[in-house]
Amino acid sequence: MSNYDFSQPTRQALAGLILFWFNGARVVVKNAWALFLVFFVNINNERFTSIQDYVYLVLAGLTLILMVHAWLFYRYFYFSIEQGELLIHKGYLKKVKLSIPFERIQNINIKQNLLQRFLQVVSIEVDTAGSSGKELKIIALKREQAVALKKELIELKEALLDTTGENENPSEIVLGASGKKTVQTNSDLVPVLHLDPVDLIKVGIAENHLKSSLLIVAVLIGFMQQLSEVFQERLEAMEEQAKLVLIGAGVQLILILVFVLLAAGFLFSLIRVFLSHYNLRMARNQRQYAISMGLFNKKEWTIPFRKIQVYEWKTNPLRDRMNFVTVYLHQAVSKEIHAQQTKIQVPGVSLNKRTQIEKSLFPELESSDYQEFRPNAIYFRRAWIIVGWIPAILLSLNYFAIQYWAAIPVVSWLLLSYVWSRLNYRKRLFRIGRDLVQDRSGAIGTSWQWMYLYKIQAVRLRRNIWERRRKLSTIFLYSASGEVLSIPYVDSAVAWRLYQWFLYRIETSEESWM
Amino acid sequence: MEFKNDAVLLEELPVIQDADFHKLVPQQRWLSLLNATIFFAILAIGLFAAYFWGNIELPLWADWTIWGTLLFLWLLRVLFVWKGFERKAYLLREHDLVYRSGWLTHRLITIPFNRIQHSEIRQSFLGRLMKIARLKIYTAGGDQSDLSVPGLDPGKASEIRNFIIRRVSEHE
Repeated sequence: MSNYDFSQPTRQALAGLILFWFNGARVVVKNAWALFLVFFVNINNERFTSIQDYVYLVLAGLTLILMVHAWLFYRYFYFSIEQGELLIHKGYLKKVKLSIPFERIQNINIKQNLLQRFLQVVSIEVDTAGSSGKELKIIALKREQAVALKKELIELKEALLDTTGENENPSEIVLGASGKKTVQTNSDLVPVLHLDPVDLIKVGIAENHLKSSLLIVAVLIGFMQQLSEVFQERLEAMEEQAKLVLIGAGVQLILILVFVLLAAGFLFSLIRVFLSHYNLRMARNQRQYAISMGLFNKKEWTIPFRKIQVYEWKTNPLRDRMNFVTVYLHQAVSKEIHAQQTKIQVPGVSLNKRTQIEKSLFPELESSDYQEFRPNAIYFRRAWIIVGWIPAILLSLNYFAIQYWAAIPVVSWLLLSYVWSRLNYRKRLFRIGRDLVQDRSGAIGTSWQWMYLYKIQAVRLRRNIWERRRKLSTIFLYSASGEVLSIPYVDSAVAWRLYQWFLYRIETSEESWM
Repeated sequence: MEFKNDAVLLEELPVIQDADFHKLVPQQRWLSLLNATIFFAILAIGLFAAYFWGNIELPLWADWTIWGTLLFLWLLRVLFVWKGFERKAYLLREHDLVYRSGWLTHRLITIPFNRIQHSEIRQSFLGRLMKIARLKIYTAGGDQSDLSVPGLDPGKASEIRNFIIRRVSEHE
């Protein structure tokens, strides 16, 4: 067992004092930044010298108060495990007691930001099934202590579930040496994946740079708009000059500009990958994954397999060439919890690692008995009309009357959208296995989404005008993670039978989707 | 392309029949029309106010276009509400609730009772005057997969809700 006795009220790590002070200071600065700004701008102003001393006095006093606050906060913050609950006492002016019964604990995550890394502490967050704001957070613990606390909470929770008969995998609970029940948790983790910097560079290279470039352009435009509000006149003059320069330089400059943007996009992708996925480690045991990643903000998750609603993997031609994909694990969304937490992105997963993951998530996976469904050709025509013809017509209405050379972009847009719609139509595929459904989509890249039938939350059938004319239907399957799998433009009679069959499968399933 | 599955013969599955559906109470059509009209009336009042206090000098054709578009959208909305009402119907089965809607685009959504998170009955101010209630069913699948049946008699609505609650608790 662990070296920590959590049944006694425990304080946080002493290094946390700096963290509490910093958090307090941050709140003050956030609320009074305008005053600080005025002070620093006028620091050498003569009229100001008379009150300058007082300002320093106030600042010193504030610092002192914050130090006292940090100390009191530290003194009066205890946590303990008592009688089936995780308890937290905090506050010196207003005393607060928080408690979470073990059975309400959903997830326990360990995180570390830059300051915490410097102080060598981590924060531990306990999510509950209830609404947000009720989750518990302890922000300054030594890593070993946090890990021990997490382990103990998980063990206690699982032992509790076992006695109430809710545990789905009782075989994994083994008798300890003392005859007491212990649960295998993180102790038997097997590494699945680790990305070193070289892998990260590869992942970065295979990102969608066009998307990054466009993001940069969007940010620049937003920035320019803000600037233009302030420096309207000067900018107008500059714009005239810029136009002259552009016309003078012509194609060359535009090419250089495009190149610079693409290079910036590339760099941006690379930096983003390093920031969010640095030192990515993924490990698993019989029932859950443990994943950690991040350069400055280190994130850690444990995800029980059964909590994963949709398994997804994405690839593109570059990733294909380098023989890896990006895997996404979609967890259930509760409407109050932030969206980013529900989807965990694991890039740089090689083919055989991917197969490993699939085998542990879908043990009964058999490739033999799949039913395949593809959309009717109308699906392609409709897509081309919507993304190709409608914009093209609107564009030509605007330009044709004035400049006939506008036909060049219009025609190339039509061709481009034709290719895109065609690829998209060809790739669309839906497969039904014995217990799962698989949805493939994409044009240049490919995305696969897999979901167990019993995880479906609701089923919708749609027939729009296009579909009704040709006796076609689309079925939508809703997951608890917000992902929607669909079977587009299939024969109505088939769709109708599938619709009822999906319902039958959901309504007869005994398994818990959560 | 025929769907087969050995585990169950599809012919034996319970089938959703069009004839079994229950229509909404007729007042619902008028309530929807009233709501659509109130929405456009507010827009029109806002526009009037802009003309009145905003000193807007527009050419005549622009005036016509603005008011014409507003009128056209209102009429379009009325048409959709009127036609859409005939399609709207629900079906309460042993294991799920089915709702049908849509005039041009037909839609059919089903939520099995063992996937319901929470349900509620809502009544707007106008709905209370006209004695109409709305039953809302929430799933874990997000807004798109939630189900909302308007145009129910308040008594009927709570009857359905009680039935659903009973069925949901049997699953737990």
